[in-house]
Amino acid sequence: MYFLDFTKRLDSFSIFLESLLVIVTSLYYLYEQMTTVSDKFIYSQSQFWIVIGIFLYLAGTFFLFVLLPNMSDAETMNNWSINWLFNILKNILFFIGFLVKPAPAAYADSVKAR
Amino acid sequence: MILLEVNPTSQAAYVLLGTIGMLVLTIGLIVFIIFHQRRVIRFQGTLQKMEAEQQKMLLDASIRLQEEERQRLAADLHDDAGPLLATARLYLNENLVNLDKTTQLQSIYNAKQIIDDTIQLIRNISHSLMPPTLKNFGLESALNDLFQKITGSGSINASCRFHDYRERLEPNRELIIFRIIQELVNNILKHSNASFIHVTQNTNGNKFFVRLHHDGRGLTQADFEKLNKSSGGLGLKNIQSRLSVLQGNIYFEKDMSQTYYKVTIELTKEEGEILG
Repeated sequence: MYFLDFTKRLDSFSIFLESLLVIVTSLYYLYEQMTTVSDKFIYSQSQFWIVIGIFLYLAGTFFLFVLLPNMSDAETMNNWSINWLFNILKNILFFIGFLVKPAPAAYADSVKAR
Repeated sequence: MILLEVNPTSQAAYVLLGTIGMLVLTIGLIVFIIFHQRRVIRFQGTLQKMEAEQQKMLLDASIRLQEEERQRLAADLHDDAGPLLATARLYLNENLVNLDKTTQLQSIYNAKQIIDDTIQLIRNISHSLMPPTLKNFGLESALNDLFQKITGSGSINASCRFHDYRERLEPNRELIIFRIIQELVNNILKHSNASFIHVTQNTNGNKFFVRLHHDGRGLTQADFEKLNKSSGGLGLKNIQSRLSVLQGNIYFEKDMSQTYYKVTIELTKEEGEILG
């Protein structure tokens, strides 16, 4: 019940802005990873798991938080499990990120793809 | 429309569908990035392997060429200089045995003749290793010298014209270009059945060009690349490895008129070689 009371006080617009900013930043990181030629696999870097954890959480709960002010208490309670689900998923991804050991590079510098 | 069919008044349906949509998009994007990166890394690996193989072939070619050069030198010294010196020694030995003055003088004269021949032979060997004209007077004179000798043989007309060579390239770069031209000329003499070879030089900004024309059977760029990748074509591989030292390029093409073959060597001039 504490959660439900708390969500009522959430500012939907600022959450929308925050999510958008972080999602765009995550997308930029992924784009950078795509265009940078490196001999290390992207999933062998811990920051990749951290970023996709944040990205998945914010993308998954985006609609929940944006539409929260328009939902009734019962609807909010029904849908709040989405937040828990993505939170758990995010924490699992963070956990993987902390476990991943960076692979040694075959050559020191990665080259920017042209 | 689907949303409306599910429950038009409920925000929960929007949340659910929006969340599923975002999830699918996000996972799709992540999977795409992972697979794209894996493909790029695999491609890069193949490229590196190919480059390493090419480097190995060039290295093999240059080692084989060195060995061939050593064998040629050994053969020249053993087959020509060796017997000449041995004969000179025989004549000189005769002096010890034969005390007749006239015979002694004759044998000394013969020994001198043979030693002169040996000196000439050794000079020829050393000139073929490093042409003195190239060292003292530069690429233009060395090429003129080489072409005079070729033209003098009567089988082919070789000429060269340098348009903009007021300042010489660095001696070791000159030597490498000379060797490349020598190899190309050798190939033309051996395989092309040409009646003339003409070499021109010019510059454009910091680019240095040497063009070689001939009217025999020649190579195109595709032939050159094919031969370069095959196990044969030792001379061409050697040209390629010399050019990689100079960081230059070579282009084989047929002339616009389709009558002549043209080989262009392109180099970038180094700091000290650019005219002010």
